Amino acid sequence: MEAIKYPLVSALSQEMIHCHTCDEATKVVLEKTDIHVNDGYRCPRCYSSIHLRKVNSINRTWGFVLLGFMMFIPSHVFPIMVITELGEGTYEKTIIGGVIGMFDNGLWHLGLIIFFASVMIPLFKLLGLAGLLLAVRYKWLKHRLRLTQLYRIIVFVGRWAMIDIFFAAILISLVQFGGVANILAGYAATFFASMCIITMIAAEAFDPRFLWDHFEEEK
Amino acid sequence: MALFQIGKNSATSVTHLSHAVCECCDLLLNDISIPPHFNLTCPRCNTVVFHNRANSLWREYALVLTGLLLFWPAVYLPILQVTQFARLTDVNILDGVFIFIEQREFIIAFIVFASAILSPFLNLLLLFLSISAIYLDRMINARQIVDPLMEGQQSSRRVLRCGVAFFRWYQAVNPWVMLEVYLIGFLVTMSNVDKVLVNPGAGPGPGFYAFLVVMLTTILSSLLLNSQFVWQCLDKSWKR
Repeated sequence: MEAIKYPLVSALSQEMIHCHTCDEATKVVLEKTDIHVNDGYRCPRCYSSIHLRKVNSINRTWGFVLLGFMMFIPSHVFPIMVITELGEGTYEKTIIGGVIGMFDNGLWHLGLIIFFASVMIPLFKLLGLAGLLLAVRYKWLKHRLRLTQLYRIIVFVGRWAMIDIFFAAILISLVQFGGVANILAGYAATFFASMCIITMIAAEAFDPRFLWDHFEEEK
Repeated sequence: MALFQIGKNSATSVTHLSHAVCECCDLLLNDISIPPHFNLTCPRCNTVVFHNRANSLWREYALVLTGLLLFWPAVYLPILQVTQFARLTDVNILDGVFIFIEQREFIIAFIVFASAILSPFLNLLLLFLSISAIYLDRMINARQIVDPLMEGQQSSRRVLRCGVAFFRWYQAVNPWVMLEVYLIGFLVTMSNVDKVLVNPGAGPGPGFYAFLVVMLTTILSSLLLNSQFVWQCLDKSWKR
């Protein structure tokens, strides 16, 4: 197959807006050149509001990322489960403590899954999004393709942090109905679940088109 | 059945687009034709701009109906059964929500409910309704069913407008369906319980198999769906 030479024009320069809902590109006449403003255009096909770039994208993403960082710390400091067992009294378990307990029981593969899902993925997401935001802010855009791939990985990986919450949900209800022990959800569970949702919203709020905006001028 | 003959059911032909825009890097591509089973990939950032999947709306319908039929068993039948001291304990997905409500942890209860029960159900239901709207519109135009108001074009437009609303909601709900994550959480719990409890016999209950089917239908229906084709069917200006 022969390589096709595309003229690399952005839809913005042709005064077209891409609808994120139905993928239709609409021709508009731009009165203002500020791409951060919501001008109230509607998609003719699906009637959802369309804008040149996601409204307030950078500010919203910074807010959610900082909130995510603030929730990441208590979610690993406070106990996620408060366990009362017959004969052993009450003890508390943090997420890391649960992982260590799994390693001690010889369940190292489960420990690895939980460790990756609840420590590595949230950290990777938060640091990666912060890095992308800094790259847009200070124009560290030498490797645009790599940054775009990083963004795509962040979006894909986001939901897998929820494993720990579902694990806790099934385990707690099982033990409660079994009646052998009593497990209460600790503070960290709320923080952790909220952090998962907030980092997913942050990834949605970021607009990858900012990474490519000055591509043509530099060429 | 004459219903099978109305209109185009699948995008098995070459799709011509006057323009397409990459949603990731805002690149404008003009005059493209994509053969069936091929993807249009952005030459600049490698994002898939357009899947020309040979999507069949009937196949989608079958998947979604299967998922909807098995949804209540998947939620309500026990997903995990543990035998301990000759006593059978079982839990279902709803218990994982109720236990948090009992412990007054309403935020986690809502998050678990929304991501494991509400959004998969809405996902299946809204896809069912939007494809139904497409078929209803086609039947009204072919005068196969009695149009209650005898308005022809008018009622067809109303049906399509509902379809657009349903499909917009479908696309909004889609990223929050986390059944495959739930499956991994479930498997981790099962192997953990097997090791930790005294003399256990932990195994999947009947709800687990229904849950597996529901998970497969949600994943397959979103993987096989050619959303561009659905939008073209829902669009009035493309149709006539």
